Amino acid sequence: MADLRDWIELCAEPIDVGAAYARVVDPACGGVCLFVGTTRDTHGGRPVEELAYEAYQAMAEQELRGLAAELRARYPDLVKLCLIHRLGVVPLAQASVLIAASTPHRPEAFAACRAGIDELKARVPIWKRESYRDGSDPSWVANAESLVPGQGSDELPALRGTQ
Amino acid sequence: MIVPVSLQLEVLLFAGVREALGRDRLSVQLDEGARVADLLWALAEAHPEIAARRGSLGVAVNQSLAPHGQRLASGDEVALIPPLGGG
Repeated sequence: MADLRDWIELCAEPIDVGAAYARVVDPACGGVCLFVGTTRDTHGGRPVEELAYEAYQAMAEQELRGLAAELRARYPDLVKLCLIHRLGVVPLAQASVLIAASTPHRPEAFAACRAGIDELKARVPIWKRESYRDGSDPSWVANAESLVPGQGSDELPALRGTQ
Repeated sequence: MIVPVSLQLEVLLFAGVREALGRDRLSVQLDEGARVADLLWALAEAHPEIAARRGSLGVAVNQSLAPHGQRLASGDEVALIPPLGGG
């Protein structure tokens, strides 16, 4: 069941940080914590020209809702929560992701934001394509946290027509 | 005469695997009772781009990551999930 205090969004337009703050601020709370992930101009020493995000939209929204429910179970004092990811091309130094939480006391707001971004990177089906200014080939960059393993596991499953 | 029952599925593609194949979905025919592992084998045999990615592709069934042993059924929404890069 969706919690009406959760705001979950995948958007094509720039993320409005002020609007997200206004959504989570609450008179029962002593603080708001915001984490804003922004697009960086280098990766592994290579100059980044542009980043573009793609999502499996229906599953991503479902995973974000599940994540919100888990954060509420883990941090029961959480009052309002905002999980936003931008899709499409995101110019350098703009917000690609935003997690915002309001709580009566600050420790849970910090903890919920931290857990929120870590879990989002691990399990929400969103991908990032980087292109570079040095002429090297664009690449799809995997998160270290990704639940789907990256390089290093190149075996097909042993199971085939068994069981 | 015994007519083998088969399972026809559409597989959604994203990110690098979508780009490598130049399309955003594939059709695959599997035996009735096939599991996620059988799907990966069938796709890898038909598409070198998928074989090259082998173990770094998860499979989502009805919008949840599914273990290799999970059975597939007609009407399932199936997607290949490359390593995630959100954030």
